[in-house]
Amino acid sequence: MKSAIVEQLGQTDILLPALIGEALAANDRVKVRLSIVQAATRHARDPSGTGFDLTNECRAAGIDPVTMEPLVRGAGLIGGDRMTAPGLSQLTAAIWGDVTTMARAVKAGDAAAGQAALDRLTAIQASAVPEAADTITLAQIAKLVGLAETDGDSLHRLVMDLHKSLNRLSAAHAEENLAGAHVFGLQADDRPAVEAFMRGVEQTRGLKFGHPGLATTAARSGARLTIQNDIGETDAHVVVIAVEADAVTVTYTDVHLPRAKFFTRLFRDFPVQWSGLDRMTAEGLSDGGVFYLVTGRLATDNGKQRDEFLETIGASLVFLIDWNKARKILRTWISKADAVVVLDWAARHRVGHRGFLELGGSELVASAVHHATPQRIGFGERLDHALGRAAAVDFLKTVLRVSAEALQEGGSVRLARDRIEADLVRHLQRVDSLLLEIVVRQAGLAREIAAGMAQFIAQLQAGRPFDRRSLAARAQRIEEKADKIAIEARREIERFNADPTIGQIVNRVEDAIDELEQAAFISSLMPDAVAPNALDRLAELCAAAISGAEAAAAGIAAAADIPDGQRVDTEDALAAVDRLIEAEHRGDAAERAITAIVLRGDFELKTALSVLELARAIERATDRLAGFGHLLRARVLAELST
Amino acid sequence: MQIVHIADGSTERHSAETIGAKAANLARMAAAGLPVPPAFVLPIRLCKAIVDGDRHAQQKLVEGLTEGIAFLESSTGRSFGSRRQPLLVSVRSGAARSMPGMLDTVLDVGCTLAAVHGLVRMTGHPRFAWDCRRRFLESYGSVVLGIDRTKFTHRLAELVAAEGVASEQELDVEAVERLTKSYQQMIEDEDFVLPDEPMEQIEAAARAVYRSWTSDRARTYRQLAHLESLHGTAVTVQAMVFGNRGLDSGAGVAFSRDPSTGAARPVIDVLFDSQGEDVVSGSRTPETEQAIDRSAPAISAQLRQTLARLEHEFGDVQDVEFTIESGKLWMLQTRDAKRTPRAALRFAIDFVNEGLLTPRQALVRLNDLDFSKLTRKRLAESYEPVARGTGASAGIAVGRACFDSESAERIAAGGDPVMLVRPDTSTADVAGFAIAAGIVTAIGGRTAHAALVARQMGKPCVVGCTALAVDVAGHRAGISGADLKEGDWLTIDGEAGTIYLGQCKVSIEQPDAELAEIERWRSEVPAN
Repeated sequence: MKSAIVEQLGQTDILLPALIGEALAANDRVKVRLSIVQAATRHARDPSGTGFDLTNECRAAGIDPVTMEPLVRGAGLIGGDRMTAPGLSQLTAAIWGDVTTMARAVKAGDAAAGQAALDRLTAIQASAVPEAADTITLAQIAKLVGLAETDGDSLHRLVMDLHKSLNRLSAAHAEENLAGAHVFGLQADDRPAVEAFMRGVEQTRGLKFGHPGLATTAARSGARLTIQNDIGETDAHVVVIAVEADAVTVTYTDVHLPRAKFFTRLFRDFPVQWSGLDRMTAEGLSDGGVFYLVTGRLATDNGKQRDEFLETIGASLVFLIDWNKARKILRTWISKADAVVVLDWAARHRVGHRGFLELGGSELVASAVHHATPQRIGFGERLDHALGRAAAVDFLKTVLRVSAEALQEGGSVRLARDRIEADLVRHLQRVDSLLLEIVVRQAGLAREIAAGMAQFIAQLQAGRPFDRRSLAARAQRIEEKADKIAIEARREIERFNADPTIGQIVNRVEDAIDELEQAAFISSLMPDAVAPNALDRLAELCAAAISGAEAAAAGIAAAADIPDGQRVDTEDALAAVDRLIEAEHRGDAAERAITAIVLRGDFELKTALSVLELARAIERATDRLAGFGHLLRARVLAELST
Repeated sequence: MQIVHIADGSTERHSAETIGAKAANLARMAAAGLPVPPAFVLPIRLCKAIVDGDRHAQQKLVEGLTEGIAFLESSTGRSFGSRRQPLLVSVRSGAARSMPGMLDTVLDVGCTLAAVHGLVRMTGHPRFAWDCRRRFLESYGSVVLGIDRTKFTHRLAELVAAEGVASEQELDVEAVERLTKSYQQMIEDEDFVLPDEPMEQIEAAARAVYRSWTSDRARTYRQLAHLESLHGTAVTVQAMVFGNRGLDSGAGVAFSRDPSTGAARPVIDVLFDSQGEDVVSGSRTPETEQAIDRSAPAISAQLRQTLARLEHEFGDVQDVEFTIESGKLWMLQTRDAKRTPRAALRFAIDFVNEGLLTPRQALVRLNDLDFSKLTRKRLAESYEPVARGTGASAGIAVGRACFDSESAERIAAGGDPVMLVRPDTSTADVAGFAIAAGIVTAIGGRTAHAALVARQMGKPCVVGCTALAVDVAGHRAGISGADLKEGDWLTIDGEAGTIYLGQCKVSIEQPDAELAEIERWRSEVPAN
């Protein structure tokens, strides 16, 4: 099947050594088979005479001697000029087949000579008078085996001529081993290219861990050098590389479209022009015979760049073996796209996934989850849901790396499993950072209500209309959403047995959101005419609330970086705490100023009440955020002392 | 390879032939001391080689980007892909002559997940951080990966509906974060791997921008605009400034004078808490100069001063893009404004009166002016408009309604004038523009690409007509309750922004006073 695909790709040159090899084997077989016909004739003529034993010859030629024995011993004459023998028809068919194989191989290397041989073969077949099954005339036998000059062409003569042609072709295409590749007909310049490719293959060959494959053949034909690799020996998974003076062209076929895309991406450091990913069909493949064809061309007349490219191709092929199997396993733990990200990383870092599969694949991960975190990651739960996307991807990279290292260095499998478990535990301890992401989201929601309030006050100041009812409605929606987020956060905190301070932090932001929502509600009822000096102070209050919400988000984001981070992360988190406390002071001062303005001024009751209530609600929000700041500081200091 | 640095304190001039008109003008603005975010330019001469896949060019591209990013990092104090102080960049096209909207741009490049975290640390504004990521995914997904942009807009519309809000602006932080994740999922469902390495993002983006030179719409535009002699586009990489950081931020487009009527007053379109693409795409209706006067008077004054300075510097009416980030004005682009023939005449006369041009220079500038187009049509009677929009390109047009370029071609082939009626316009409609007598759109502002192109072609155009609902697939539209079918007659006044049902009577006027002034110059300036 593979050679059928290669032929379909128009790359028959590369197949010639294989064809010659097969034809020489056919030559051996046909000689044994003709001998069997002779042995049968002899037995038929003289059943009591000593036969000749062809057992060893059969074995050497790959023919089963057990089926040949009854043929010879069962041979008998009919009417003196015909022989019959059990299985004779099959034997003669095999003889025609052998000769056809030989002629086709000659044709692949020398079209004219091959065609002439095929014509002769047709003529010889045509001249044979049809007989009953398992029957042949003795004259016909003579015509097959004989070499008489006068009696026209014979099959045996044709076989001999073909053998001669094959030997000539074989000499011209003498196969040799170059750096592990079967090569023939190379020119001096081709050798470094093949060697570069093989250097790559050898660099990563070890990573296939016992899987068959990666056999390479290379041949020079006309203006180009063709290199072919078997990859993992599956049908329709073919790579053929044509090296010409000014370009290297890679032709790649695959039944898996994502793997074909993965393959092309492995060469992103080279300016390769890719084209295709065409859907093709070939008879006899699984999946309805569909496969994808992609062609990449690297235009280069620079030998160094050419060899680097060839080396990279050679080194990349092992990562295609069992790729889809590995991807399917990874997909049960992380998203489809992240699975490809992990496999891409493993290929780029020369780690691969075969080691992972050898060590148990999915079971390897499942047992780490089972041992390390029986309660914290549920059965069938994806790792990216439990650990966060980045951590899950990071962990699986470690799994692949540790597996490959263990098998390469011959380390103990037990030790590898322990290392994998330890890494999972390390990531679980970092889950706090993931929970802090939830707080960032909450702080963002608080900021949005505060910004809406600020906009409302600004419009009042400008004396422009503002849809305050929709502000209140929006604030209410946000508050409800924040509630849900907080409930979910508490559940996660419990599940992961996380730092209880995080729970308090979550509660504090939620309180701040509640206060801001209250402020938005009051704003929907507040009269339009408010004294400008009161509005100025309300604007300050809103600014303090925005600044507090921003400091909360920035501070918590910095705190999340502390475990793996640098001093600046701690400094940023503590600076945010200062801003939170500063915002509370500003809020407090503005609220007092408003109280003074209202109580000293001449306000209508409704206006006075709403302005005061509004100011108090926002001030309480900044107060909650300052409380958040104190908790954040406690957490930062606790992180530092661990 | 020599990349050109912009806003590095140098006052060197660069030619549009080398680095593209946009970058050359940007460098000139920076040299004049105007606030321009730092940038660097990969030259036009690399374009063809990159499109052809030349390996030396690819190597130079990578080297140029590496060097340029180092320059941007040192001048902004931020670093590419950082979790603390991330640098985000725009990757923009720019040919030697302006081809508005025809080439591609990738925005917010470098906005990896780590950078989103970094933006939160920098600003404390998570919605803004996710909004940057959303914009990055949209532009990278559509321009670099070739995913149909409408797939993104559909996701957005679905979420806006599900959240029960009026527009994308009202989505809260949680919703925007969810949206970016759904964008990412969509990209990955198409089997693309989204690079999370910023250098990988920028290389792909730069290649895609170079490649956009050969897109069908760019070729068509060059043909229509007789720009076939151009060699390619440059790629400008500029530190992002953010108009989407809050209500004290925004993005806009301004003309130093009215490009439609020629009146000597700036025309400013601005969208607060938005990025530039929201303004020029015509997908939202911007606010005008009154809005910026009201909410940011200091910025408004600075912008007007800048526009006047640019007119002096470039000696012509300018069309600029600007961004306001947290109360600071940044200039992102300036170019000679496209204008109607009538505005061209008015500008020439005003520039001479203001001493910016001599009559002789003004006459040279009017050399290409088609004086036959100066005649101005007016509605002969006072009609009641069926609807109003924003006048985007002055003039009266009468034509039969059609709702896409194909039916426009069909009706035009029958010999009748055509009125192109669209929900919005994208530059993909250029073919329809060329044959239309006039253009009407339901959304978009005066500075949308469509309006720019319409003005350049001298076609009357009304945009932002909110009473119009177009059903392109159904070949019909509703306008203020009236039913409009394909082939129905419409009249528009592209200056007043009014739309009338049926064929209105039209009378013709000429700017006699201005023409007399030109005649006077001609008699005074000796011919040579």
